[in-house]
Amino acid sequence: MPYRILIVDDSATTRSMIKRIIGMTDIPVDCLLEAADGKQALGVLAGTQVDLVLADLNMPEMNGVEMTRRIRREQTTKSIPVVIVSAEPNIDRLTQLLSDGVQGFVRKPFTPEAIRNCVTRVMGAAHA
Amino acid sequence: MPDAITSPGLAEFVDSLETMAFVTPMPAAPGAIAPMLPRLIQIECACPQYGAIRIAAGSAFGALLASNLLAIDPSTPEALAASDDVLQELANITCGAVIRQRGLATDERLHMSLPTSEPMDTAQWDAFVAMADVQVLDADGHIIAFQTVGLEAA
Repeated sequence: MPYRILIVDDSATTRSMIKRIIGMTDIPVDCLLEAADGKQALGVLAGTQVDLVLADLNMPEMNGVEMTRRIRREQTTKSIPVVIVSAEPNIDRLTQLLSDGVQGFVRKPFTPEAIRNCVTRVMGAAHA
Repeated sequence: MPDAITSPGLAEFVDSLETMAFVTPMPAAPGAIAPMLPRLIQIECACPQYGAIRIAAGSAFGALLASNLLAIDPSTPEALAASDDVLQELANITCGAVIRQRGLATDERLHMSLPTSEPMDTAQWDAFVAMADVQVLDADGHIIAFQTVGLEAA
């Protein structure tokens, strides 16, 4: 079944890059959705069924940490896999996110292979 | 990696540029001319002491990066429109890399701001590149300048 993937980043260029990378893989995609911050992302999730969230951490309005907490808190979204794609250097913050249920982390600057491998691994595990 | 440059943070900046956009900057020739429509991109952090990464570059350089990232022509309106966004993302990525490299990433008080961008006039550009700790670089024919403030290793 093709996936609906939500890309959350305040950089429009980064969102376009990730869309392009995913579009060049053999990952079956139904729809690539975008949001510029955590608040927008929660709005998208409230109205659309999504199979995977790829999110930055350092964003305006609502950062990725708070967005992830809210996704995990809501009954309708708590099982959606979340992958962090970020330049975040704070190891404690990343460790906490992983223990809070984030499924993967891709460090910026990323290679296409890093995105592809992480998405493939997470979606494979989610639908195993 | 440029030869003969050991400025703090520069290795991480060069690595970010190469990995992100396949551009390798080299030391600029003395008296390099300022780019058209330069902007100063800054990201600040507390680790917990104040630190900042500053990048000065013209919009054409940002458009070049955008063209490499998105596989579009650098002269297109799309590339020019993405210029500032790409430069801010470059500052964000470089700041994260510098903090990691300096061993500052385990401090629970670590905080990174969002990047900011402001236009520079010629006098501001000249004053910036004249600073002793600013590295002026030539990146695929584009003159850019880079500075790290604070961010001493733990």
